[in-house]
Amino acid sequence: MSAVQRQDERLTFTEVITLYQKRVYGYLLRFTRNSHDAQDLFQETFLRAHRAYVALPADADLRAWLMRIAVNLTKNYVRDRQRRAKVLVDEEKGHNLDGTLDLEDAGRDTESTMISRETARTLLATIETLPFHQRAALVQRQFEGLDYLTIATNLGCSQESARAHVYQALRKLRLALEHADSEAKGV
Amino acid sequence: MQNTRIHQLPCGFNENDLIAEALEESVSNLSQQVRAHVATCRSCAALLEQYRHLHSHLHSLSVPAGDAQELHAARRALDARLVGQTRPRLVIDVWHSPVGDIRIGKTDKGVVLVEFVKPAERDTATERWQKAFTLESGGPEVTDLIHNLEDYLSGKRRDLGWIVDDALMRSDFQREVLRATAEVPYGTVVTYQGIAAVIGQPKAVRAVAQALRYNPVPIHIPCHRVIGSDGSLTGYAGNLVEIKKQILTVEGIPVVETAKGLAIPKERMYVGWRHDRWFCRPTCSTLKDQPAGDRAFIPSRARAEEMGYQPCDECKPHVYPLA
Repeated sequence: MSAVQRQDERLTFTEVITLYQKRVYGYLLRFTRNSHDAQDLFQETFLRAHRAYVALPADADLRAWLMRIAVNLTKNYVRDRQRRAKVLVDEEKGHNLDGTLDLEDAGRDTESTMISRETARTLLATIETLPFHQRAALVQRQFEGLDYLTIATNLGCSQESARAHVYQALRKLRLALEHADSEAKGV
Repeated sequence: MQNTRIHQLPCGFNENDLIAEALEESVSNLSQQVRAHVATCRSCAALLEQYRHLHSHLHSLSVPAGDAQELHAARRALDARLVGQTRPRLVIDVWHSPVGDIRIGKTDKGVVLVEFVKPAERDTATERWQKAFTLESGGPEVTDLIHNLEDYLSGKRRDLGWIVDDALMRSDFQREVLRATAEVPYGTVVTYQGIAAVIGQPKAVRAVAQALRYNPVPIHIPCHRVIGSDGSLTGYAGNLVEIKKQILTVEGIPVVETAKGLAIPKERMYVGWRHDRWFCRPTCSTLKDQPAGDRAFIPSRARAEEMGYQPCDECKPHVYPLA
């Protein structure tokens, strides 16, 4: 355990925020791919943490604790978006407003990185349909470069499960690309 | 289980090993195996290539960490919202009770903490509450609570009737465990397993015990009425077991000394069906069908009848009472 955690008794909540804000924001931004939502969830994470801080055991792992709050909030975020997307789809007969921002965003990268807009669209859309743990693990592994031990503590699962989530997600993404490819060729 | 599932390809190779290779996270001898295999297996070579492409596609899709300005804006907005959250008032006092010193704390929402205080910690332990509360000591509000506890410990009162502030509860799981525990009637005991069954998580026995160990409002939320499956008074660490015994004694529940420590002789107690409100002798044949969450142990026939429980037709505890 780091010196920081042992001194937990003396850390004010403001100090806790300063220590971990980058970590939390990084995850939220990579998950939502949208700074507006990331900022909202960032505030919500620390407001929740603030309410619970007093009941937190002195020897708790602050980073893992905060990350779990953030992870749980992204879980709710996915659920709310899916609910909202469903309403939109129902109301506007298939016009899905929800993905617009993400795809615009992806398109911006197209020229520089040689990934086709179509591939980006397929991958991002598939990521949105992944079960929550697979998606969260994938985001942390591929977009944040975290190791499996850290991902496991953030998700509250074993290291092996964290790895399995990432691999399962990659398998689905590969199949989605394969499928999109064969459709494009008219097979 | 997901993490042990092996993804075998038609050629007999494990797909996960290809993924690990594509992500450059396989250990060296596995990596050699993969390379040797793809040299001869064309479909695996193609698959590995797909995973490598996928890996680099994802890499190009990753968003940068976010500029410092965005984070700064988020932090400013957060600070502004935190300022609006003033620290709630916590009125706190210590009562030198017959079972030892008890600290009681109350916020404007309700009773937030009841703590058994070790003499050495009498003055220091409040520091941890200062982080989140504005402390005030004593006052008539807490004096009333102390009178309630006094009446309870002398057996004059069975229900403290307090409104609780759950600010110090650690999780929704703990809240659920404590809610289920609050339903256990005075003068009866149930097991950790029973509580786990009531909240619909029959396997979470240890987690239930842990949640009760950190009960912020003991006595009012009667974690003392929850015991181990073998009858032992586990959960109340250290000298607290002695306090648990005294509280149970006040409620008329027998506590005996065994080789493994203090325990409740539940094999010599009546068994109550909490839902249908009847009671049996502990040897009754109907008990094999009883769900774990429905079971309460009752020390005497008088107590069972007082609670409005009917005697079982099968074992007739009213005709053949326990010795």
